[in-house]
Amino acid sequence: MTSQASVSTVEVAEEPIVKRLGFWQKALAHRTFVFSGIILLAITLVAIFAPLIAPFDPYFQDIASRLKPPFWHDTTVAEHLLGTDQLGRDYLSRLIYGARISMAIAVAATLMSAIIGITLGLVAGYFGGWIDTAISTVITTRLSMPIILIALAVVAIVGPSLTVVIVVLGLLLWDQFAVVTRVATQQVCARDYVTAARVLGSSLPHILFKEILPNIRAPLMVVATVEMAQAVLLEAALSFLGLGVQAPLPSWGLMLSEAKTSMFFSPWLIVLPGSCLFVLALAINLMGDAMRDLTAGGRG
Amino acid sequence: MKIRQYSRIIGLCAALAAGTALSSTALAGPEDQSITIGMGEDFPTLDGYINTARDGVVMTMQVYDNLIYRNPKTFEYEPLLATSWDRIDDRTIEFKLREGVTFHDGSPLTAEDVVFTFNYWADPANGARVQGSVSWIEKAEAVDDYTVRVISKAPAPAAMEFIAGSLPVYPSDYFQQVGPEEFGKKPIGAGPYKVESFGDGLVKLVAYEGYYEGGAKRTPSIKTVNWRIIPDTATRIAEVIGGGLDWVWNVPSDQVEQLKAVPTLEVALSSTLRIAMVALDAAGRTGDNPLTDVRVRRAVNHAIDRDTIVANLVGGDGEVINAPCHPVQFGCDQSAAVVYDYDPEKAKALLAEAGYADGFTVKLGSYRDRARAEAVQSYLAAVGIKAELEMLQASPSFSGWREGKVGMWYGDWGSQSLADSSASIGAMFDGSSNDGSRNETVLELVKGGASVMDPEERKKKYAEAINIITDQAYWVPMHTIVMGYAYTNTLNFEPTLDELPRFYDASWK
Amino acid sequence: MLTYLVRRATMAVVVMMIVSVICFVLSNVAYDPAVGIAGAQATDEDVALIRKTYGFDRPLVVRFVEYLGNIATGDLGTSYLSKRPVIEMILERLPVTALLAVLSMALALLIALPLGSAAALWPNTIIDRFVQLLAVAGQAIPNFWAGLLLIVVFGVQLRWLPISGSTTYAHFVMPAITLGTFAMPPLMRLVRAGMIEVLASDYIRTARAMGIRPFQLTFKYALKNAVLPVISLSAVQLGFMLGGSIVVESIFALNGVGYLAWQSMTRSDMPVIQAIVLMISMIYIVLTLLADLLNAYMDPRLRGSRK
Repeated sequence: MTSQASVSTVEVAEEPIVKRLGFWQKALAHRTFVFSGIILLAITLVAIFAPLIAPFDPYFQDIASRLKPPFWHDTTVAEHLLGTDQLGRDYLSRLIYGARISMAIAVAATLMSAIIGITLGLVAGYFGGWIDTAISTVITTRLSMPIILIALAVVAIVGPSLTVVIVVLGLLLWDQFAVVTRVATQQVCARDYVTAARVLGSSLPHILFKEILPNIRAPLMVVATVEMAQAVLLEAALSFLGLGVQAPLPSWGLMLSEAKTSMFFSPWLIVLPGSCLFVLALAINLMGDAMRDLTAGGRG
Repeated sequence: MKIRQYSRIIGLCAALAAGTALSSTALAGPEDQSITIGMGEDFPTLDGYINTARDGVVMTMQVYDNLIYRNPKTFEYEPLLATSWDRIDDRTIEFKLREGVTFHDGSPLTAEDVVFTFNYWADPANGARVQGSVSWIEKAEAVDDYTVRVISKAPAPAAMEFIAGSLPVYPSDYFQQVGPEEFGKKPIGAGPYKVESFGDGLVKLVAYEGYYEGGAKRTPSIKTVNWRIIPDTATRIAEVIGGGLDWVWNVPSDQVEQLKAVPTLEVALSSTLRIAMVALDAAGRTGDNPLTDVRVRRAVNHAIDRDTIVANLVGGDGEVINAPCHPVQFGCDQSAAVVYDYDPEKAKALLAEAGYADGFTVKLGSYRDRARAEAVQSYLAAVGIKAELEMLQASPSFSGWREGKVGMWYGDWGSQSLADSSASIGAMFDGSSNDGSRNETVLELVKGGASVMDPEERKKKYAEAINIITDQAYWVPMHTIVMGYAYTNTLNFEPTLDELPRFYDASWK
Repeated sequence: MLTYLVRRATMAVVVMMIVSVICFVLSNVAYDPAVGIAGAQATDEDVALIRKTYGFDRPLVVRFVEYLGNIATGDLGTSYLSKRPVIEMILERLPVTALLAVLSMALALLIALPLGSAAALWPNTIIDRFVQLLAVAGQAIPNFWAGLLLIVVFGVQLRWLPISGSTTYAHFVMPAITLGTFAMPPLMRLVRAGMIEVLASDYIRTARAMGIRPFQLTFKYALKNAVLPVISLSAVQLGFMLGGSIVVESIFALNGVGYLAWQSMTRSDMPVIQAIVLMISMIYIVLTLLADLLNAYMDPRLRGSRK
């Protein structure tokens, strides 16, 4: 539930700049990229068009027809393809809306942490000196604190909700962005074109965001995938522990928590949402691997 | 049916495992006369006057003895530490103590122990958790070594209930010597089991060899009780199917039905004295909120389909209640209650009338059963009330209600297993922190009901209280609670109405 | 070497200070300690009295200095609920969590070292692909879900393993698998990357030219050199696992620190939460410090170049 890569293991590619056309040509020939890309695209589409796809209202309860099994059982109720949950809500519809919640949290939290982390990393890497030392200390502090514990503690004080989960994760998952940006910025700054821009009197924001940032895009995309997968799993864990997204929202983690006592006799209730989480996290991670491959100039 | 098939697979595996003794999980079993049970609540202390959550009362039942015992089937009082008793007058009861009784440390029981225990806890400064069960005591005094008089402040019709149900007798010397805190860690009582160890999620009870004969409690047949604390219901169920536990309770009724198919297990869905309610913050403890308006509270009553919840999610003999007390309790006249039928349209109309046509947001605390709580949440949503559900463990959830942190609480109340409305209406509408209504008239009636001796008079007072409480819709009275048990089928065990499993009565077949 | 040591240690101390500030804020600013101590049935006067007697009305700076002093003397506060010293409660439960973390780490290494090496020896083969897939999959499995599945399959259906509690080593098998799965992927990747690098280095090529058998080469020379970064990552992961234990312990009812943390969260027992965060962070800081120093000691090239 915590950052997988540590400071000492971050690898920044020396020459991450790949020409756009070349990148896409290579990417489309890359099996892992295509495979994970298709899955992610599918989940994203499902999330966006959930109200059109879902056969039922995910909140509509029909207690009398509860715990109906999914289609691969012989007694299935035809209209509920994946059966119903403890309150007779259509499970397929809940899973579809669950994709929305996972994707929303993953994207929003990653975006927020990217902004925080990249800003810190750019500043530290560009200016160096005591500013670098100060920001490095902040990064090290963040790394030393167990994410899930802090997240739980904050949620326990503030009170759980979707927004709180997004903000808390966004405030906690920026460390790798900062680490990678800082190192990459240091490397890029040493190159001629940055020196040239500096000599020519370009403004600071211009140097930071126009000269440096585009050149460290590739490693940052890889970090983004790692953090997105993290955000998905962390949200699920928080919701599972009761300190994340709250009922009746159909978060996959919360669905697992709701189905826990029924898992021995209605195993699909935990197999389905768990598999969804696994597939989403797997696809994001594979995408990250593919991008690392594609941008690292044939390494590994 | 596919569910059956799954159960059969599980059952087959269970049988196989039992046959080949693959399972190394249970701490022991019939061979050494021990039992391993799974309980949900963690204990801060084993002091019976502080540890009054349900599991604590069960613990108290095994470790301590009271003066008298109430038979859970006949509801008659039977001798325990006292062999006989007499009402001297309206306020005084005299008890003759059994001679030759010893506490777990070997010290003999005398009148002095009873007098000390009752007087100590009657003092509110000593912090008995349920003040209602001790506050009626003026004092206890010793007549001689084996005779005790208990004197109440006012006539106390429920005195015998409290003495039988919630007043364990402590050894005065030991208690004073070690102090209340240490006593809670290493308690000594006069009950059938003594506490051998306590900590690390396990309370180990062993049969007390010096336990007296002739009382209403049996000398234990099972010599060791390994009381494991496992808060997660799913884990407890897994353990009992897997054979790691011999006995669990609080099994949701769905699972009870399905566990029937496991050949190694016996299951039971047993009625209790416990009632569930959605208590509403009518007094405005959470601040100024829509629930202070009686029309909103009535709307909430109309919004929830209790019949469907009971039929599908309660199970067993569970029934809808209309009054804020259990139907078998003395004074619980269901016909005195104002009944609100399920009518979402009417609910919406009432909300609109109160100025909440667009609904409102409120916190809903609950525990025990997530599915039921979410069902209520969904019914409320259907009329526009957005309830933020807060599922917690039993005691923090109850605290949330008492401290006024939630506007609605879908909780339950076990009346300390007392079959008298003074323990339900009298404990939930008494102006204490349990009471979310603070209605002066009800307070007076409840006080009267607890101090008038004439049964007819008492009935009348409770009926009137029920009428006001339901008319003002301070609660949504929900249903009785059915307790689900699952245990190894080689165990002789009988659930009781008072939700107090008696392990000293259980035995291995 | 000395400058590096001093700089690294200074950083650790500064970080510890910041962490303790955060913990102080958690337990003294975000949540009113007077309300916590007063408990459920307290009146406003009670709370006011407690605020005065405990000195919660003094300036935050004064209280923070006092807080630091308390930490230094091993006093981490008193639980609102059990009224016991927090340090006592944590120390009681630390052995379970420590054992869980060590076993999980051992398991993760047991898988990561041979598989990672194999992938490095035969890169871009089916073995390599399998190992990489295993790493990605391990990273993507929600560990609480894995725990539930293990319970259903091995605890309930097959009855091979005990489900909850911590009485025997058998009780740690499923929790260790659950937590180990989560620690394994980064280790495996690191072993693979390190081995590839070492195998390509000059001295291995020389050794190969001298006719040393591949098997001996791999395990005697190459692995020894590739293992260094793995040790430091292991230390880091061990720290992370203390945090990850909260989920695993609550599923398997292991009476450890993580479980204590979860219980305290549901009851807003801030002194306990704050102390656990503080302790885990401290352990992490010390472990990473040791790992870095070890790295520097073993590899002289690192002494000057790293922060």
